[in-house]
Amino acid sequence: MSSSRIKILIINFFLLSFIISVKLFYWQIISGEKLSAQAESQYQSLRVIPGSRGLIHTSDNFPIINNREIYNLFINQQRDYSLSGENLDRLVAILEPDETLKEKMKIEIKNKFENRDLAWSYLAKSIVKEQKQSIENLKIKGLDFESEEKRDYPEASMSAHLLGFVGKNSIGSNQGYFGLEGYYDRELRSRSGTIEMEKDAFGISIPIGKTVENQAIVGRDLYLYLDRGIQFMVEEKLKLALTKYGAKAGLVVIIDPKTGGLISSASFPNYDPGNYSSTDRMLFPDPVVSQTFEPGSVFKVLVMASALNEGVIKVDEQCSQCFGPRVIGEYTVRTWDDKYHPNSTMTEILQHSDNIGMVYVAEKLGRQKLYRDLNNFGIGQLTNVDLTGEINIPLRSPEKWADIDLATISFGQGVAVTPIEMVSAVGAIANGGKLLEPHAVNKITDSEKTMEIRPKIIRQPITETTAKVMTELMVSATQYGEAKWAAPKGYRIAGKTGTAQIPIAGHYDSQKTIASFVGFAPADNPKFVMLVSLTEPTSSPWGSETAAPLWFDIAKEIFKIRGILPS
Amino acid sequence: MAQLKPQIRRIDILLFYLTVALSIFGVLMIFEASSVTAFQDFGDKYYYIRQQIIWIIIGFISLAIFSKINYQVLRKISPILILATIGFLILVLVPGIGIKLLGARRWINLGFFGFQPAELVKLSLVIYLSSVFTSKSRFLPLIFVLGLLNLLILLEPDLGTAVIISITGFILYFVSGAPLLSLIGFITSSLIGGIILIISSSYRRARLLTFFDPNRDPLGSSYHLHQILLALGSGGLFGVGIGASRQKYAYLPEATTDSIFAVIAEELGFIGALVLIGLFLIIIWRGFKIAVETPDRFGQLLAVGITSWIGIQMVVNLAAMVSLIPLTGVPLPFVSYGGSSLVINLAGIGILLNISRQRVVK
Repeated sequence: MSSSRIKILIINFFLLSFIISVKLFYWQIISGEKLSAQAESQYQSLRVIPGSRGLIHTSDNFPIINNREIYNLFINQQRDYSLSGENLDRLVAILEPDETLKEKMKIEIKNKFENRDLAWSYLAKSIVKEQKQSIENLKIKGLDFESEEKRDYPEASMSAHLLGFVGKNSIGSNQGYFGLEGYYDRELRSRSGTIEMEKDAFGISIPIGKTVENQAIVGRDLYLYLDRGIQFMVEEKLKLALTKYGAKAGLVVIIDPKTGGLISSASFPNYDPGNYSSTDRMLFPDPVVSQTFEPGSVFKVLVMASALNEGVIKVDEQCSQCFGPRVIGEYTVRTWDDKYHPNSTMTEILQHSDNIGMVYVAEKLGRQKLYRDLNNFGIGQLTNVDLTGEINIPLRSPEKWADIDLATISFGQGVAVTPIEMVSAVGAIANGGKLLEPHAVNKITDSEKTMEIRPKIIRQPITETTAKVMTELMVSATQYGEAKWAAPKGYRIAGKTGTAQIPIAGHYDSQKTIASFVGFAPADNPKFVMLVSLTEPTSSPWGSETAAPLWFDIAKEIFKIRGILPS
Repeated sequence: MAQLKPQIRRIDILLFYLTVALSIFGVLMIFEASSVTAFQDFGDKYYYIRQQIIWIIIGFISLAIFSKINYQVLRKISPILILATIGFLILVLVPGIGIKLLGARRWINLGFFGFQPAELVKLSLVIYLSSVFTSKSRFLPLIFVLGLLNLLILLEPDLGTAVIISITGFILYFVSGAPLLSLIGFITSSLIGGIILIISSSYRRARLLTFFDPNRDPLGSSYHLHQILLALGSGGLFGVGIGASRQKYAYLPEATTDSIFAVIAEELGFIGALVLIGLFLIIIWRGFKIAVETPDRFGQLLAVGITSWIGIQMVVNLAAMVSLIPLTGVPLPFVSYGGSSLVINLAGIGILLNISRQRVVK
């Protein structure tokens, strides 16, 4: 036994411990900063808290678009999970009401529970709170929920075109499309918040860890001019009218002439914004802003107003050419009923909706002034209404007009306008000659402030006097015109019917028409301007027999709802 | 006339206190490092700690018993002990008796707890070789017994224990006065055997490659080492504070057993880790001091063997922690969670304390 060999051992142990300590010094002190930074980055967990999208309210502060919490159910593979046959039956009973599909779902869920390779597997998407609670009560191991907010439509597909819908964009986040959701997406959109936490290797937060929270910012709310009661009534009436007159499509736009606010906007066929994905995409654009039509006779009020305003004609002036058809170049212009009224006054021209008379007016006005005045009414231009997808077809420049073009424009053919363009132009007559920018949104609010959107005057195409005179002409056109039988008694209504043939492959089909009526009431203090337009009514092609009665029908209801008394 | 040196009838009290201190420190650190995983696995954050406290009680009972039994008795029972140990090593390989965990058969199921024969091997081998070498240093019995034990242990497999008993055997052979030439022969044959073992197994090869390049596969074979180094680095000079380890939150594998030093270094820093290493060195120094002061050759060899085995286990564990050698899965004596290891270690200390009663002052 050699104690010197024991000493060698002791020295060796001390030496090895020294080497270990040096290496430990290297890791803990020299590389410490780098390693602890690496360590920290593996504890960081960032959870995104989505904020709520802004709501949309009607003028009575009713949320016509709401948010509702929905849940996605998935198996959290990082935890223990198991599912008994009994619980499988119960789970399927909660998730699938359809008996015939239950067996299929059972097999699917069973497979997902057995396949451990999938890191993240969804069992069900978009389930509601009640379902979530019943599933939680089953206490199945390893099931987890993620919540998501979805748009909720308490009034179902009401005003679908106006509202638009919320879908997923290319990066999978929520985005508004069409209508107000599209136009005001930036306002409605929420800013997501974040929670930075320290997590363990399974991603669960560490109780002693630090937490930094950035709160989510909710989207702004919109308050509309839209009157829920009127909108509801309008949609009902329009639906009935489409059946009654056998029309393919139809729309009603109502604005407040004093503010430009959109009181109602309805069009059919429409779609269910809560179910947009199973809808024909062609239905998404709002025809009120995204479709043009040839206005026909309703356009006459704008031509007449321009001529009166320019002073080229007087109200009681007699038309010297109204005795018969006009031949212009190779074309012959006739009245709609081929009846002619020699020496008609301007009032009578409008009452009879006399094409020959309108050609007379337009020729007196001349192409340059007509072009300028129509532009002043906003014809051929965007109204800048706050809705997605507005289009415009500019008027051709007057130098390119043939003589027949000047003639046809005078009675609303050879031009194309959107419904919103037409109704806001007529709104100028109702508003003492001032053209306003139409608006759906009245105010935008967030937690801090309210932004009021004030009525915006674009310009004044006609004087107040002209507007008054023109109003009288339109009142008598309603009182003594083709549709007088349908007008409500006791109210002074300024309006004009129109029937435009639909151009098909370069010529007009006399059976396919767009029947319309535009007007405002009460004439002396207009509370609303309304355009009704029906596409291809089959019971009668004439606006006076289809669109006009619907217009009056709706007007009567508005008088009731708004408490407007007969004069 | 031979002069009798006066015998000291007192045990080495410093060694005893250090052992108690390290064991209690171990319990605290295990509680610390295990509460998270204990709660996740058993729904009871005291699960591991309760187990460990039971083991520590059993351990100190065996320490007390061995410190009372005259170590000369061990010399007499050493053949029976080594045969029984070999028997256990064979039993653990029998399916149904041996429990297979994480791909290795290391435990014998004793009903309410599991027992690791490989831990018993360390004690039995030291006692056996000490008694064999008492008359003189002998090469053949060493090679035969060590070869047989290693074969059985590698069948489990348990490379860490094989390394420790081989080095312990070598040290005993060395201090027993073996000639230099046969020592070189022993080392060469061990190295060749070791290389063959590493090459023959894909998981050992992966561990070795990881050792040479820790960033080779951070989510696979080098994940464990990477997490140990992150723990060390997070600790810095003074540590993140008791209880503030982040690495124990399921990032660090084996946080309560083989890797507990990483948690200690993270929480107590470089300073704390040095103190711990220092405590171990004092234990090793006391152990060898007892060996030197012991009058009989068997007692000396036994003291050297026990001290070396505990010292080697510490060095292998810590060297792996600081990436000086590949990870082999060796617990840190007294501190790591694990009943068999703790009980056997404390029994070894009990024997050391008993030997310390026979010391003579030179």
